[in-house]
Amino acid sequence: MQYSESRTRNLRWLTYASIGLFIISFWMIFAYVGPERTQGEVQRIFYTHLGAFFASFVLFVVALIAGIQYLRTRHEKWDDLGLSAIELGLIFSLINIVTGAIWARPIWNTWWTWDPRLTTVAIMWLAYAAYLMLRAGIEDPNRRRRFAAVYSILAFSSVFLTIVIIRVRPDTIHPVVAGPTSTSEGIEGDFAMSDRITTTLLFTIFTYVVISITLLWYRIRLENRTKLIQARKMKLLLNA
Amino acid sequence: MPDTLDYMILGYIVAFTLLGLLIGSIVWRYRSCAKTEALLDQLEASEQTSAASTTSSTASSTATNAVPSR
Amino acid sequence: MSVTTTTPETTSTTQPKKRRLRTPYFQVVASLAWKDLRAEARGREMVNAMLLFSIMAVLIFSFALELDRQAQEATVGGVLWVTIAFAGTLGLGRSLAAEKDKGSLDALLLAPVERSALFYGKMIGNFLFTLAVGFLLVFLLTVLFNVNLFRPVLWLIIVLGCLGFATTGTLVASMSVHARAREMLLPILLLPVILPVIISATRASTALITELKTEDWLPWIQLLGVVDFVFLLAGFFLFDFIVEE
Repeated sequence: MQYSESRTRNLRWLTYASIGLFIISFWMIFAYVGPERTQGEVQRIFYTHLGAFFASFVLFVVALIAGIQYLRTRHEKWDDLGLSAIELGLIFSLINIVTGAIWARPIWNTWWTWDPRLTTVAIMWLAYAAYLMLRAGIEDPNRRRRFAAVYSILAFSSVFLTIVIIRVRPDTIHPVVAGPTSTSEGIEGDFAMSDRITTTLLFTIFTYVVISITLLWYRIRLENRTKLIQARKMKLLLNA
Repeated sequence: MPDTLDYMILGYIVAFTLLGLLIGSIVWRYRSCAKTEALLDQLEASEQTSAASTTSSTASSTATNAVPSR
Repeated sequence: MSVTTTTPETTSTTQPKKRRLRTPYFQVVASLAWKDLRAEARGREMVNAMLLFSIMAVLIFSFALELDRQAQEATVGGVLWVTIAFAGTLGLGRSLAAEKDKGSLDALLLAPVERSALFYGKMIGNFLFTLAVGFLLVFLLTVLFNVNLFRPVLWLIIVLGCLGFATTGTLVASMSVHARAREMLLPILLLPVILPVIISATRASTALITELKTEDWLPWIQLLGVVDFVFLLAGFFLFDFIVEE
């Protein structure tokens, strides 16, 4: 592969850093913080739940920027970046949704409820899944890249809605962790954050964001490699 | 304090399984890329030996296909 | 954004694609919308399908949800918007597919006019058809659900909601029309993106019909207005990228 030495070295260091951070956050979640008083052990899910959410959020923002940049510059690398980011973002938001459902079972006494927050997250997931459907449905590569960029910009409206809805809808039962909340009544599963909880939470979020960026890097390299293989195949077929 | 340990374990099993599947799929795709590359190397080499006249063109093709480093 | 013109257009049969000089922006929009309306007036294949579909959908809803008076008031807003969304999707797919299959989309793109004018022209046509469905539903739901929907504010919500739907819908449908299995792809692509419009319109309608206080529905109408504005702007900027080539 024709990657520069320093970049490959950086990627390797980032990989080690991700593994290290993951081990430390694992230790923090299970040993450093104690179980929460009103929720018990299941509260430990919450760190991964939020970490995965922030990772997917960062990835979808990256996809939005990649979409805008592709339309501006028409460089293929932005399309690769957008595709990679959305593919990974889908998995991270799936982790977010599933862990949320498992947390909700003992706390809200149901796996799923059509709460505004849950609804918008589900719709966000569907919007990005539709992005992959759109890519699969269009044959002309230039048009596929263009439409994908346009749709990744449109789909971001659902991410925006997910962030905003919890601030404007007073009837959500989902706890608001970061930022102002419209009301404190009616939120089930909220809890006071001790210093240790806050530290662990921030550390886990940081860890997941770093992991997602590392994986994104590998995923882009994979995309490049696949394209190179495709080109070589075409070459061989033409020569044959 | 309610006993919710089972749900916590279930949650982490699912979360780490999904993360593992993601990493696994990337690793798997890297491996299959490597396999295909090895096969392509072989095919290109055999083509070089069979047609000596086209040697220069196929040799240069691998270099020109280089992806911009990132 | 106004395009300077050198010849004042006076004739009634404005067909921008045949002129070599640039037609004023609003005139492109108007003539394109007018073309769609006239084509519909002659063939009526799209509007008929949309109206018939919405009648059937409402009938199915009223059979499926046999509700008491209070529950009817609480659900009628949802039924209204679900039906508008599905009937609208039906119409959108047809509207853009017809343009593409007859090759008239390519012809329009050759015309020396602003691309965004074409977008707004198509959008207005779709908007009016969706609006027709919306107002038919006002009558139908008033009769079948026995809830009075003759409220000017509700009509405002319908106009704003249909506007948002038609804007995003035209944008997404002009992409999905190029895909394989476009009839299947359109709702999948459209519904997640259209959700802000549907949610705020449904919430505003339901709050209005159940006669909640003004501060319960006014924020939703404001949100709907903002979303409409954002989508109108998005259409202006993004349509160029969709149709270029």
